[in-house]
Amino acid sequence: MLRYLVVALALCATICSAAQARNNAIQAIAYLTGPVQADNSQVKGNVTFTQNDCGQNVHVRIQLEGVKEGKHGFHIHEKGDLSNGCASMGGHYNPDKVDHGGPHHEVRHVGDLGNLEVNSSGTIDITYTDTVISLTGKRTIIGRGCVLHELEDDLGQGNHTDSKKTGNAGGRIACGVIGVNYPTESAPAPASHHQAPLFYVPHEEPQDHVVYPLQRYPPYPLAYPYPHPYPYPYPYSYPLYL
Amino acid sequence: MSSIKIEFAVQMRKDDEAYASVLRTALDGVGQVEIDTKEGRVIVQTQRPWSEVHDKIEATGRKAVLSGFGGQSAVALINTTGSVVDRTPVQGVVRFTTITAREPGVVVDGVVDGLTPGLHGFHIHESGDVSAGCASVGSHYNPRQSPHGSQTAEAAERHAGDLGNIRADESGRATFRFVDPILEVWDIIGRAIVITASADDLGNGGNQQSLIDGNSGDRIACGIIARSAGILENFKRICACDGVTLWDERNKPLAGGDRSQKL
Repeated sequence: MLRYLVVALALCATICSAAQARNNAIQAIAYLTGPVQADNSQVKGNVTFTQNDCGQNVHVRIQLEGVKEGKHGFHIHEKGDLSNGCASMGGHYNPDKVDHGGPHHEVRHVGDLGNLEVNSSGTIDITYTDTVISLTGKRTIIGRGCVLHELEDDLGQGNHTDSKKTGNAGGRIACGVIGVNYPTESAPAPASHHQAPLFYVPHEEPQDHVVYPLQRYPPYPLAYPYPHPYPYPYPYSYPLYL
Repeated sequence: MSSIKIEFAVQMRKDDEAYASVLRTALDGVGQVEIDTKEGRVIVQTQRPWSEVHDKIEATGRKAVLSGFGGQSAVALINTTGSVVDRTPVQGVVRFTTITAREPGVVVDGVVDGLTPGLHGFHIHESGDVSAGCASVGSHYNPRQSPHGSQTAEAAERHAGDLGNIRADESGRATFRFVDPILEVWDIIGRAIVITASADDLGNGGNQQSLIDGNSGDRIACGIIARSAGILENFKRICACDGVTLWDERNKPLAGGDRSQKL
């Protein structure tokens, strides 16, 4: 029994190796700026993302100043590319290709963070916890763009044609790239080239009482519906995994 | 070979074969050129810097916008504070891409304007935090805890982020393209690229500082390395937010009042 536990722990450790190696929270930061307005005000401030361990919720702290009073849509966009203006940042980060929604909706883009409600002082400092975005893994938001919109995001519930796509939040008043923000001292210690095995598995022959770590399959190359007759042999040049 | 594909959206009429042949002549010798006149798309497989190919296309009198670069690709917009809508003397774009899926290494291809003529250190720093400008991006990206060195040194003899020097010509422009065998695109996304005031001595300066940053002086410009579109990933012609077309984008500010009118 203990053995299963050890193996399960080892599995978790492999998946989260990035976080575990550092053994502290993962942080990312986006410095948002907008252009200087006629009245000399400028939207600027930090958005910091903290994830205490991989797979856990991300705490988003938003500190902005110079924002007009009211609600403003706030999203993570797919790319962080500013080379051709905010247009090259792409759409909302939406790897599942689903409809736009609010941060607490079942159906939402990964990048839908809802609205920021700014009071008359024009500054905002709030912390919000999101269960969908992540700083690690395949769907990391690092290197993507963080955008503050001019208008309120209707969270997919408006009547406008753009409602299900963008929430009809209007133009972009400030944007920034999400960068990594690891503390300077915490670069991982130099690991020896071969990682020490995390657990012992007798390797003469496969053991059916051992839960082997999952191998990552390559993405299946054929789209559903699969062709008939089924292409055999399996269309990979390398051997099948377990 | 380190040739990569670069995709441009070029302003042309549908099925304008006459212009396509003009463009083919203009790009003669650059590399393998594919022109899709239906979509206004030009894909060039080349070893030349993207800025040079871009200039050659624009020299034919049409506007061109780079819309895809290599495989997995990243881009950093460089200016004095690393922030988004800053207009400062030092301006540049540096692009990174993988060469092929199986080959390690990164093509680094960029153009930076507004520098003083001569060599300037060019390094990747570990953080992408520009909240205090270029000062807050941390030190050189150094996952192996190695000393500072030249970009041609072995992995253990240099910081992974040590990319040596770039050379600015008399007009203050530095155009460069090189392959770095150690970096990976996925590894540097979200970090920052920094240009320094003086030349990097590549760790041969003989003092303590030389093994930390090559005596390369103050940071004069930086930018966060962000995800960007690869080949055929970017079909956008009009900004959905306000209807500004791709061709007019460069004359508009990145965000703000001039961008918010819906058409």
